[in-house]
Amino acid sequence: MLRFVFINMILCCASLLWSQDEFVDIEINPTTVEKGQPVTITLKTNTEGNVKFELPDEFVQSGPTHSGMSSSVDYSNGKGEVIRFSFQKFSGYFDAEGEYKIGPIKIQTANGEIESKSVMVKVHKRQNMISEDPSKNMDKAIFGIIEQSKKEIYEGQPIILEGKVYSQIDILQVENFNTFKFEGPAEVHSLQNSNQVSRKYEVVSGKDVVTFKIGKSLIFPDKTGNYEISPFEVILLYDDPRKLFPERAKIRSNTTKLRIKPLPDGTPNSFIGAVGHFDVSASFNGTTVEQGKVVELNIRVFGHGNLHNIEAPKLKLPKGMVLYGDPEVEDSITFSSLGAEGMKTFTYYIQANNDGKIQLEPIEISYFDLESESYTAAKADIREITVTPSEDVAKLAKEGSKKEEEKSVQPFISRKPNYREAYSQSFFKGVNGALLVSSPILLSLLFGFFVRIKSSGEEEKLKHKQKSDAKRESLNVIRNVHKIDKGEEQIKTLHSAIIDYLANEWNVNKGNISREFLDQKVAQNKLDENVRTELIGLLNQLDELRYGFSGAKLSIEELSKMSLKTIEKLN
Amino acid sequence: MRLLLITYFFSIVAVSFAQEKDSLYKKGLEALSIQDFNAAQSYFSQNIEEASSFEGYYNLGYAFAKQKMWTQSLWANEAALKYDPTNSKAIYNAKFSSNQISPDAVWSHPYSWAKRIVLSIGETTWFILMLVSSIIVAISTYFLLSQKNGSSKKLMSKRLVIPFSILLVISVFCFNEVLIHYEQNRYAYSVDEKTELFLSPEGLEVEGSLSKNERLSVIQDQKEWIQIVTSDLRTYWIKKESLLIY
Repeated sequence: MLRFVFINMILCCASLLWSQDEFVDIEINPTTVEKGQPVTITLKTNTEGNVKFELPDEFVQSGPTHSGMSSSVDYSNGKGEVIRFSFQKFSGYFDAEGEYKIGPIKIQTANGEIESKSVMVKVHKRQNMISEDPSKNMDKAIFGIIEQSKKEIYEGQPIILEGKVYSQIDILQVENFNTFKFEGPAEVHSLQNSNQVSRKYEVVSGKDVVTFKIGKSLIFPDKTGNYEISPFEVILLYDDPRKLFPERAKIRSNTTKLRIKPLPDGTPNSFIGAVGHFDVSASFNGTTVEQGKVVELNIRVFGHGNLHNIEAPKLKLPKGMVLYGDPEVEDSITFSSLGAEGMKTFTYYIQANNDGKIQLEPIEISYFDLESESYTAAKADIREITVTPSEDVAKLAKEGSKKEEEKSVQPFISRKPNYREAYSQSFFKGVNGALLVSSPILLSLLFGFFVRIKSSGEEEKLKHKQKSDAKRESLNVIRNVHKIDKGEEQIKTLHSAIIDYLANEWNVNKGNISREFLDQKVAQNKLDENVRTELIGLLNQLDELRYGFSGAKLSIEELSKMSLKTIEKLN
Repeated sequence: MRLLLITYFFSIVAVSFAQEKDSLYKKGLEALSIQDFNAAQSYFSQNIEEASSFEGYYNLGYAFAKQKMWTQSLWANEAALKYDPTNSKAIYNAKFSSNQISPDAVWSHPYSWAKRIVLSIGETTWFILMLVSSIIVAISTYFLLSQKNGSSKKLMSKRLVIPFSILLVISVFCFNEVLIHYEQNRYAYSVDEKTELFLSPEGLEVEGSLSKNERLSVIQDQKEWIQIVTSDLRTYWIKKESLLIY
């Protein structure tokens, strides 16, 4: 829709205005909005004439046009000049997304045509908001709910909060809006004037309700954690058909919660603390610079997210380029439902000390992309800069670099090289090395065991010899027992010699030799049954002789022979 | 007679090989003395290909530094440290080269303190320690096995066998470490940021770039390919010819 507005204005104070320069201006607030969000347009001028002003078809005016007179003080010339002007103010909204150019306003005056600047307005799609279910509150005539763009966000990510009021009765006026509060450290930007609300009719649970949104805010929480958003309060003037005058009601909304998550690990080196969507461009302020002079490097980071809080990108300068101080920062940022949107320019002052064509490494920034939920890098190439030589600087630089080099580079060495033998050629690697190390130990083990076996063999032999000697001695005693004079002594000696022999035969003490012991040996198959009987018989005979029993019939000589025969059978 | 001839032939070959290495090294020194750094670089490069030495790598690093080829100089000085890890001149030049590439970078020694001590002691000392401890362990073992309980020799052997066994294990480990150290390629540098990076040998090429000042750790070393890991734990396969390895 093409709209032409013709306004005739009569100036009240013609004498005052006569002294001022004619002007016309346009103000739009805000310049970045969502589809359907109220926008205020103000036209200002101090002259009269035919006004030509065009508004886009997508702009829908809502509410009346206010006009009047006002004044302001202009300090731009350093004096503080009072400017009086008339204004016209009206509100409306855009019903489609896009970028709209508003203006210029042209006024045909007696002195010719004057025109204002034009203003660009960006209209985004409406942010999808999450809210509690209103149908659960339909038992109340009026109620409020906090709507939020997300329930969970990342550190640095902004959140949109907005109050929505539902009323089943006709609302006349909104008074004393007390906004919701984020219960934690945060930066809050209001996106909507709380005096400006636009009502809408909706159907909730089959009932017609009047709704309006209020207190839209952009919040940048500072710290991670779980936080509450305390309720908003508003006083509403409503029409009660039962009463003569309108009534007032104070409503209090629900409380809601928000979780702020930390950014994931793996932060890249070029991360500038940005969360959202960004890009970067970079350029020098010229194509040539004289050696020793300072050149400006402008790095522009643009996009939306937490743009206002980002850090300066890190520079990698080649040798001969020296950075002076911290970069100057200039920003052009508006706060909208997308966060801080616009551009931030970092101006670095760099002194070029080496002549020639200097090519800087591309500028890289990394940011956390909320769509992909990952760190993303953006790069900007910089056109090379030509540094024209300066004799004085070159001389100074040469002297400086010579001194630096003298101080820094250690001289070469001329001694004879000590070549290293490769491991693969070493005799000591692998099996050879292992054999070399282990051979003394293996040999010692071998010799040690040999010595041990040898010495234990000798011990065995000695024992065997001792045993044989003892047995031989016992046999000799048995053989020569009849040569002993006393008869009682003969029997005692013979008995002892037999017991000695048997003890040596079985490697036991003499005390162990008994009839039961012999039975055990028979049971172990180490003694023949007949030999055992003979031995026991022999021992019985000796006992009879020794203790004077009447049954003893054999002489000591016969007993000696019998003993020898029986012992022989043992072997 | 035949054996004598063969021995003689091999001796001649060995002597002529050593002379060739030395002649390249000497030519490199001559080039340095007349400040022909490009020629010196070429001679020392050939010299270290023939046989590696601290002196060859150090002087190669010096030739690179004089031509302001800082990444190459950093590599050559660190490669020199492989052969003499405590040499203060090579440490200084490596640090200096690193600062030339990136003034903010903090250079760190490629080898840990423990490894530097092991390498500085040298394989000869480790070998002697290994043999001595082996012999003492052997004698102690012999006495432990052959002597009777309670004898003074057995008692002394009991006291010696454990400490000298530990010393033997340490000296064997360190001796082997020293020998392997000179054989293995552990680190690499990329001269070109546009070095082609691959997912596997002869496999898919992947996107990415390597920083000139970044010491890359070698994971696998194959005939023509090498697998490296970057400081931010990215792993790539790269053609050996694209890297400076030591």
